[in-house]
Amino acid sequence: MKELLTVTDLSSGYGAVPVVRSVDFTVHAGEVFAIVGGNGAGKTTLLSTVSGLLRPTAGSVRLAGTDVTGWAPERIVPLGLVHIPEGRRLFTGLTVAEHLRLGLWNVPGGRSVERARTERVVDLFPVLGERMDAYAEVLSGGEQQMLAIGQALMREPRVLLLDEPSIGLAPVIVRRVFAAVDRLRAEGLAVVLVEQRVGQALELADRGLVLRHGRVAATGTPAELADGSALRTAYLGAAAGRTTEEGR
Amino acid sequence: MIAEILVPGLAFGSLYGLVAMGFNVLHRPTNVVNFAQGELIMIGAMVMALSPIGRLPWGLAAAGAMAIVALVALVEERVAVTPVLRRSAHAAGWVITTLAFSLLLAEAAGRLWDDQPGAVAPPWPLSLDVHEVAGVRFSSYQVAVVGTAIAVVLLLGRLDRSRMGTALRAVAADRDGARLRGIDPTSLTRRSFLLGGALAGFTGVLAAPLLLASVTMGLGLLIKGFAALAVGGIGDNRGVLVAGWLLGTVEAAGAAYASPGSQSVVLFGAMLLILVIRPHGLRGLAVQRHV
Repeated sequence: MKELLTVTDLSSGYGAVPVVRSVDFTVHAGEVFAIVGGNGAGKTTLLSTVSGLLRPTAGSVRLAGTDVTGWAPERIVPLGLVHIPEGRRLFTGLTVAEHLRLGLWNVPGGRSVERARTERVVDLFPVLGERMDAYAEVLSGGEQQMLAIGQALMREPRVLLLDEPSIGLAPVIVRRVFAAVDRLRAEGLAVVLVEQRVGQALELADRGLVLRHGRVAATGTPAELADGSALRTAYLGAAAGRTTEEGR
Repeated sequence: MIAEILVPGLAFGSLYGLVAMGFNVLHRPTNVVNFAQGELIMIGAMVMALSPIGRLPWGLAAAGAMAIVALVALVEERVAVTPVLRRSAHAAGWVITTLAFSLLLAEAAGRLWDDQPGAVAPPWPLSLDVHEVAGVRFSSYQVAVVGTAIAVVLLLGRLDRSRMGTALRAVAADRDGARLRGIDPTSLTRRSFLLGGALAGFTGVLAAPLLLASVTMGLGLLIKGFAALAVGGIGDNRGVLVAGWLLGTVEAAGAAYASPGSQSVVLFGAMLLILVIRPHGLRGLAVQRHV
């Protein structure tokens, strides 16, 4: 599989406070890569650094071979990496149709491209087709998440960074969103998934890493992560990890 | 009686509405209210009144004035707005930086043109000659100013519905969120300052025949434009034009029926009264319409 996103020795933080420390991972085309860890582990900071919202203090980010370290998001997005942040950050006062159209910002092609890509998004999320004139702020949480993903897909990205897509959603809606991610993976999209619902994230993922205090505590397939102590330690603390190891 | 003051009131009110529309154009991508707007308009009027460009055919002179003011606005964006927004999109340092830029412009204009006012004739075939039809007194230029303001509202409405207008609204709603969609807020801010500067220049061009162009005219237009913005609602171009008309008519009535010096007191009294009754202006905040 083609390597699309390569993060090497990446560190970042807020002011003098380091949050992400020396993180390495790679993501391939057609792969879902899960980043899990407890609250405050640095997952959102890591995604924000990869997408350019935060400048790294060390390390590098390569997108399909291009070094994009320290680039602003508006320069990275045209290369095919789209970050859907926690809480979706849709725009108040813009309709569903306007959000989708905005997804094509600076994308060459006229109305035919817009029509074709809108049809593809509506095929994936039919409910959006019924709510084209609705303002984003009146949509349900699930519809908002679908719109955020749909807007990103208008650009036909190569890598999608999804931060907590299940937050605030009913389980049935989460399943629908995850099913859509599964379908996008099958179409060749690389997805980096940050998720609090560890079980569902690892069920969906091909590989992943456990982040603890901003460092990679473990990396591997979902089975490897679930078997090791790093996952328990990340969520329940050091004592839980030791107990698990001792019990073996 | 109202017939006598209606058209002059609407014409001056159109100018106040245009000043407020200029505020809106720049406010969209930046959330900045440009306190130098009045001085930008003054430069547009002074270029028409006292510079060699003003002696060109009206269309060329107007285009020249708009281009010059657009460039001055671009300089303002580079030195007084973007550096502040780069540090923090939510900081209010722009209040003092745009005010400082305004003072610099006033000082420079004062040195360039002294305090001499300049009269500008309306473009042919318009004139300031007063006609009377069914008791309504008006000049062809006053009517043209009102019609032009309506045309500007319609044009800005079209821009608002374009992809660029949508991007501007996205930047206004969430600057970093827009960046994550590949939108460059700095580039949009620059384009908006060019457009807002051109609009300010055009407002100065329109104002020059109605007001005597002078280096001190900016402050009055700034304050009255701000009154139209407060009453019409930030971001609502139709609202600010209607508010401008209302305030212009009230001002004209104050001059006609109270005393010639009291029109500003009447205008701001009306503004206060409206804002006490409707704190978000005549039509409420533009954003609230969507919820």
